[in-house]
Order: sequence, then C-alpha cells, then structure tokens
Amino acid sequence: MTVSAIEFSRLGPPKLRLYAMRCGSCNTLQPWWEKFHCYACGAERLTEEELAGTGELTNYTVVYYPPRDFLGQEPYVVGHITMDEGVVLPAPVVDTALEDVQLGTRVKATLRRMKLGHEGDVYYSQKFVLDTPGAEA
Amino acid sequence: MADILRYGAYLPKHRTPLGELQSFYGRPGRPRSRTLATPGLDEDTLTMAYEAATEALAGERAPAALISVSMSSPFGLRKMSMTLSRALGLAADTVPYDLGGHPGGLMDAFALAAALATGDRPVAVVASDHQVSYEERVCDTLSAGGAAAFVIGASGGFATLGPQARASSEVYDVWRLGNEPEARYRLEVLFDAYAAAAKGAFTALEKATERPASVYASVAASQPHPQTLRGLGKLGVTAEQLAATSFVGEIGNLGAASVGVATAIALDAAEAGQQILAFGYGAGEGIAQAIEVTAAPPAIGAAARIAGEPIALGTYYRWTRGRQAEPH
Ligand SMILES: [Zn+2]
Repeated sequence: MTVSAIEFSRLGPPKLRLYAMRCGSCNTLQPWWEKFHCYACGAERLTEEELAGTGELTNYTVVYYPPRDFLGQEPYVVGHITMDEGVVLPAPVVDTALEDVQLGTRVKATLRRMKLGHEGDVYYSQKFVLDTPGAEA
Repeated sequence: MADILRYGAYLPKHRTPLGELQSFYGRPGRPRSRTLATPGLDEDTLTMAYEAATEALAGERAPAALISVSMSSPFGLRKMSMTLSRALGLAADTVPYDLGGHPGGLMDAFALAAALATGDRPVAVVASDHQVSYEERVCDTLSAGGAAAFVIGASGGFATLGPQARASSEVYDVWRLGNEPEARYRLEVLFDAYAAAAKGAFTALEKATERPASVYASVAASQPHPQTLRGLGKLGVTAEQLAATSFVGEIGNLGAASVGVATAIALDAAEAGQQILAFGYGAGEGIAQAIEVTAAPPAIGAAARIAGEPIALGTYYRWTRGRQAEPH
C-alpha cells in the first residue's frame, strides 16, 4: 500500500485524534511517541488507545520568541498536560490570557493547525483550551 | 419530516476592530460591523467545524452520514467531510457528503439530512466558513469565520424540521480572480437578489405552511450585510424577530456558517410550541425553512459567544497576510 507523505506525517505529532500507547505487559499508559518501548517495564508491545481529551496543566512556560511554525501566535503557553488517564503530554494551550493559566488549570483537547509544511500543506494536531465548567466551548 | 436532536456553534475568540481597520486604510464612512470574528492563525474551516460538531455530537448516537458545508479554503480540492469524520473519530461507515457553492448550503444540507436520517442513526450537518478578506479590500465583505453543527434524526428531537421553500434565480455577479483569496462581486446586484429571493422564499413558505412571517418567534437569517436584514422588514419580519439572531453588525459575515449560527441562537432562546424561520441565502437563492420547537432545546449559550477578545490591528494584519500564502 502506498502511504502519502501527508498520511505518513500523521504517524508523528501532527494527527487528527489524541491517543497514547498502552503497554500490553504492565498496562502503563505511555505518550504517543513511545511506539515500541515501555519505560515502566521494558516491554515492546504497545497499542494505541484514544484519550478522552481532558486533563490538568501540571507544568508550563510562555513562549515569546517562537519557532518559525508558530510565528504570529506569540505569546502562547506550552505545557505538560497530565491527562485524566494519567499520561503526561506536551502541548500548546491556546485562546487564553496568560494570567488565566496556572498549575492545576483544567484543560481539554481541541483540533488546531500545528504548522504549514514547506509545500504549503496543512498539519493538524491537538492543542488545548481551558475547560471551564459551564463556560462556552 | 425530521427532528433536530442537538446542535453546536463555534465562533473564534478574536475580534478585529473594523473601525480602526477602515481608518488605517483611509476608508470613509461608518464601518458596517463593529468587529470581525477573526479565526486565529491556527484555525480554519476544519478546526472550527470540529469544535461545532464536537459540541453537537456530544452524547449522540453515531451518525450515518456527515454533511459538510463550506465555501472556503483549505478544502477546495479535498473532502472536508472525510477529514472531519476522521478528526471526530466517527465510524468508518459514516458516509461523507460535501456541499459548497453558496452560503445558503446549510438549508440544502437540512433537506439531505432529513432524507438520509433513519430511526437508528441520525445525520450530522456542519457548516463552517472563513472567507478571508484582507489588505485594502478588507472593509467590503466584512469577512469573518465561524461554524455551526446540527444532528438531524428521523424523530425524537426537541424541534421538527417543517416545510422548506425556495426561490432560485441565477446570479452570476460573484467571482474570483486568479489567486485572490477574496471574491469580487457587485454588491447592488446581490442586495437586489437577496430581497427578491427572500420575498419568493417567504411567499412560498407561507403558501406551504399557511402561516405568515409574523407567527415566527424569531427569524434566523443568512447575514451577508446589515442592510439585507433590514430588507426583511418589507416582508413583515419585525425588528423583534431579528433582535436576538442578528450579529452581522457585531462580528461580520460568517459565510455558510451565518444561517447556522443564527439558527443556533434562535433555538437557544426558543420555548416549546414556538416556530422559528431559518432563511439561508446565497448567490441568488433563498431557502426558507420552518422549524417547529416541540420541547425545550438543549441550550448552548451561543449568543454569549458573540462577544470576544479584541486583537490589535497589527495582529490582524499579520494573520491575514499569512492567509495569502495558504493552500486552497
Ligand atoms: Zn510496561
């Protein structure tokens, strides 16, 4: 089967769905990029598992001088999200004032553009927005 | 007949001050809209459709089909319904449909969804648009972005899709030159066409339902320009019927999403027993859809999203310049 370059790229960070890798031996959930190695037990059989998309910001920084793919979006928050399933993922937190973000802030995943490829192709991935109960989506 | 089971709406958070923009380009006159609901640099029709559809599909049964309505990039050459279906994690047998060509397409999608929905599986309908206007022409189209989504089932919803009536005429006076991201048009022709199409569609709907425009609790209309809404007054639509659903003067023209966002706002405010008239318009065609509210809608607070966060003129300029290099 021929795999398109764009399809192939979705095997990496740019992807349409948010998932993590479940270890078949010790059941630990690892980040999406740990395709072949469990850092808890060393097993090599991991399978994709979809995440509910909600979690908590457990570490973050504010980017004022972004890499080229993010120019024009600064300043923005990049953080570690501890997902409700337990796995920690790095991701941008968008559409928020910097002062509204702190450790422990509840966030939920949404789909955003991550970058434009050098040929102008659009790469999508998961970013996070504040998850305020009762507030607008 | 079919029912609306749930709905969702999305407006980007950023608001561009149109008055400042006009004076920056030395354009005379009062701005036609207070602000523009401007999608962020990492947003487009797909991401906005995803937001609206996620809200509408929350807790719903897996749809049999996903109908996507859009007129803008980056899905001119690809099936947005298919990519959206994957992004939403819908079942592989979800049939992807795409409608384009004019901003009233959501009404076509309602008709298609009503025909496709079964007792077991509903049909999801999503309208999402971001018509980019930029540089010195930015004040003409009031372009902005947004999305609205509806889940249509054979029965069991809070509102019934009643009769639909349309008036169609050929309007050729909107086109695009070369790589221009923004359409060119003859505004006076489009104004006349809106009035004529509205009259034709409203008259036909009145015939089908035996109800005059005055019975509707609110009228949720496509909003290409504030003046077009005022034109509906000639058809007996009162300012009161438009008060809650009018946003073009606040956030601009949302293209194909316009009538959907207006309908979401109307449903939010509706009570059981009330009637709503949705009016989709585009390129000479007007489509009037009667909606009968049978139970309290699962309100989403769409009207509260009209307010947003202002962005600086420089930010808007950088973002719209970036859009010019975009894939179509
Ligand atoms: Zn393990």
